[in-house]
This record gives sequence, C-alpha cells and structure tokens, in this order.
Amino acid sequence: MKKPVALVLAIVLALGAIVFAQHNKSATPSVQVTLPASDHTVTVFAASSMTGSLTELAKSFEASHAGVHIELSFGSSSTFAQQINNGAPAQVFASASVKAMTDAGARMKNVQSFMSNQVVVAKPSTKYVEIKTAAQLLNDPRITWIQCAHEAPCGAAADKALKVAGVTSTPKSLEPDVKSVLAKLLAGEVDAAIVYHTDVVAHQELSEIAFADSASATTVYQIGEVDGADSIATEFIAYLLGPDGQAAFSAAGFNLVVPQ
Amino acid sequence: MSAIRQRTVSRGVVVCAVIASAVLLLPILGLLWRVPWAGLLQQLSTEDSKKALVLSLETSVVSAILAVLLGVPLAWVLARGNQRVAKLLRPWVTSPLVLPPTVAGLALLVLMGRNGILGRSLYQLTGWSMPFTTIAVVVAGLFVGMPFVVLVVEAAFRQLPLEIEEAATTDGADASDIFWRIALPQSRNAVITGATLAWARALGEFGATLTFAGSLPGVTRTLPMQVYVALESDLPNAYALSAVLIAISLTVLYLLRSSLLSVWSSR
Repeated sequence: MKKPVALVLAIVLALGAIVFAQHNKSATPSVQVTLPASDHTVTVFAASSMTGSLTELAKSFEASHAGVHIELSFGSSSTFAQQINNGAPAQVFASASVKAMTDAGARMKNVQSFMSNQVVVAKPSTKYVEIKTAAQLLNDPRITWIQCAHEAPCGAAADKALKVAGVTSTPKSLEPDVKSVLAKLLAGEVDAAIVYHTDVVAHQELSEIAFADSASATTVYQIGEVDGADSIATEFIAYLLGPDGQAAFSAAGFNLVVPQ
Repeated sequence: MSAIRQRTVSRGVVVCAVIASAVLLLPILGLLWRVPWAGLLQQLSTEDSKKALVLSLETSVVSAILAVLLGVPLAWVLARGNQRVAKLLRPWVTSPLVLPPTVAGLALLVLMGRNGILGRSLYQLTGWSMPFTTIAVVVAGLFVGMPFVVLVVEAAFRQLPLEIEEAATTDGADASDIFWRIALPQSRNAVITGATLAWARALGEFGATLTFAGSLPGVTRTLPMQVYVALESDLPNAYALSAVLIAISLTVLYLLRSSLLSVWSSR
C-alpha cells in the first residue's frame, strides 16, 4: 500500500518542480518587456444597449493606454444597481435610466447625464410596411409582441410610451432585459417588440415605428464613478464624454442632446 | 447498533461534515434571517406573487406527473430492452441533467418555436405556437425533470433480481404482468424519489422557462422568475417568495424522507 503513495508523491513533486522552473523562466523576460504602467484593470458595468459602441470605445482606449485593460460587463441597469449597492467591485457604471443610477445608491460619485435613447416598436423590415403608427401595429389582433419587464429601464420607458400612444393590447411576455426581448424578435417568435432605437440601428433586418410622443419614449443615460475608482477610471469616463466617445455613441443611434 | 454507528464516525470526518453543513445551511439560514416575517402574508398576497405561486405549483406538479408517466416506461426499456440501443440512448436522454438551462430552453425553442423545426409547421397549420404559453412552462419542466425519473427508476429496475422474473415467467406471467405486478411495485420508492426530484427541478427551473416560455404574470412567470423580477424592484417581496420556495422544498423532502432513504439504502 505504501509504495504507490510514495510514487504518486514523487510524481507530484517532480511535476511541481518542472512547473515552477518553467514559470520562473518565462516570468523573468516578460517583466522587462512590459511597459512601466503595470497591468491595470478598470471594471465597467454598462446597460446592454451600449454593448456595440462601448466595446469599440474600450478597445481604442486600451490601444492608446498601454497596460490598461477595460473589463466590460453588460446587462440590465437595474440588476447592476442592486449589485453596486451590495458592494460589487465596479469602478464605472453607465446606466440606461436615472432611476437605476439613483438605485445604485451612495457609492456613486460624479454622476452626470450624457445621452438619451428612445424605445421604439421594432419589426422585421419586410413585414407590415403599410402600417404607420405604433398603436395601429400593436393593437392589430394578428400581431404578437413583447417588451421588457416594468422594473427594467426599457420596460419603464415602454410603459409610458404605450400609454400615451393609446395601445390597448397586452404583451405576450415581460422579459427581464432588452437583450432577451431582441433575441425573441430576431428569432421570429414574435411579430414586433419594444426595444431601443439603437437596437434597430444595429440590426439591418429590423425597421422601426417611432412613438409620436417622443418625450414619453425617452430614457436618459447616466454615467458615474463608483466609490474607489482611480484616475484611469476618471480618464476613461472623460474619453467617453469627449469627441471620440460622442462620435461612436452618435453613430450607434444615441441622442447626445439630453432632455432637461 | 447505534453504539457501533457512533464509533465509526471519526473526528476528522465530523469536522468535514460540520463544514459541509455550514456550506449548505448558512446561505439558507441567512436568507430566512432577512425574510420580513411580520409582513409575510401581505407580501405573499400581492397579485403577482399569488399568480406566480399558483402557476409554479400547477406547472411543476403536471411536469412531474408527465415525467413519471413517460419516464418510467423509458427506464424499463433501458433496463430490460435491447442493451446496445440502451447504451446509445442513455447519455442522450439523461443529458438535460447537465445541460445549462438556457441551452435547454434554446433547444426547445429551436424545435417548437414559431420558426422551429416542428413548430413552424404547427404554426402554419393551426396558427398556434407553444412559446409564451403555460404549456411551454410544463414542457420546459418536463424536459429538465424527466431525466431524474429515468436515472433513478432505471437503477432500481436493474437491481431487481432476475430470478423473480424468471420464476414468474415459469408460472405463466407475460411481459406486461412482470412490469405491472413485479417491477413497478418493487420499485415504488424509486418512482416516488424520481418524481420528487423531477418536481423539484421543474419548480426551480428558471433559464429554460425564460428562454422558451417568456415571462408574463399568470401565464408563464413562475416563482423563480418572480423572485428575479422582485430582486430589482422589491427586495422584501423577493425574500418572502424565497421563504415560500424553501418551505415547500423542506416540507416535501421531510414528507418523503422514508422513500428517499430506502432508495439510497437499497443500493
């Protein structure tokens, strides 16, 4: 019984020694290659509607800041607000609504409104081309449609817009975030869905019918530093609010004019 | 008997057992600590909470019943049928056990969605599609729950001594007699255990249900989904609903403890 144990032990020790030696060999030169700014990570929580534009902006920021890594996490703003409130280690939070930013609580610093987005009725661009208004399309008995849950920013904006537009039909599902609404629309499981204008811009196969009362369909995006953020996080926010950031967000379909 | 049992538990094992219990118990106790007991009934009587509670209980029970009706015959075929087929079939029919729930939901959508492989023809013929219906919730629960029935019941069927079946055959019993009058009664506890596990899995299912069925109060929004929604808007409500889920689970596990124990000890 004792022999195999000793053998296994010897193998483990030998492997350990090899791994250790390899590790030391490769570690020494790489330290000299790395630039003086040692590896630095900025964790960003952002609304899923910013996925495309923010991913590109983060890449070009990393390219001009050696050793900096922007760790992006996209999801429902209201979920992030809860997580930040419970101490999640983010340094920057970009929210799709003022409410979600407020819910993130006292850990947020230097919060500012920086752009806005609108919920629209999205549909496959080849279908229902004759229908001109949101209420006409959604109230049509042949149409099945979905939206975000009332608790999510895209759902809250949808609720307001639908009420003003006089939509009386009800959605087939209240999805937890705009990503899952979009997924079901793109899969063809529904005829129409309430998503953001930016989502329609990002998908050629979709077209939109905007709500006539645009104020009721608008949600304001806010960005801020989370308690404990450092100077690079501040610099990244400044980059997003600067000309490069504004150009990218504008191209994605965001409105840079913030309604008061 | 009990004296021997006491002595066979060494101190090191006890330490591990204490750590294991802490890992399993502390999160549940922590959650119960946060539950607003004083306003519990009020929390649970909100319209969406009641709808989610009723929907979850109904759909998970139907899923479990269907899982037994369909899963037990499958288990019998795997245990006593062509073993080459069984060997090929077994990993596939039990795979939903380890599939990420979202993948399970996606698989169901690909098959039964309005643009799905079967769902498309169904929609064109009848104008009806499965996603966003309560039936979709039941099917999602069946898909993720039935493998438990198959796994547990097949194991029990395999333990039945072949001699009994041989003796019964000599006495003139046919194949259906052996299944109905010998195999099934002998494996009663395994069926109950499988059904319980299938039911529990269906009750707790989230990802597959959301992906395949959506989330609409009273139609497809089950308790776990209601908890998820409440997390973002109404934490006390989320705690209260979680307490209900814990209470239901503990009650069922407690009521079924004799069946569960005897299945494991018959191994």
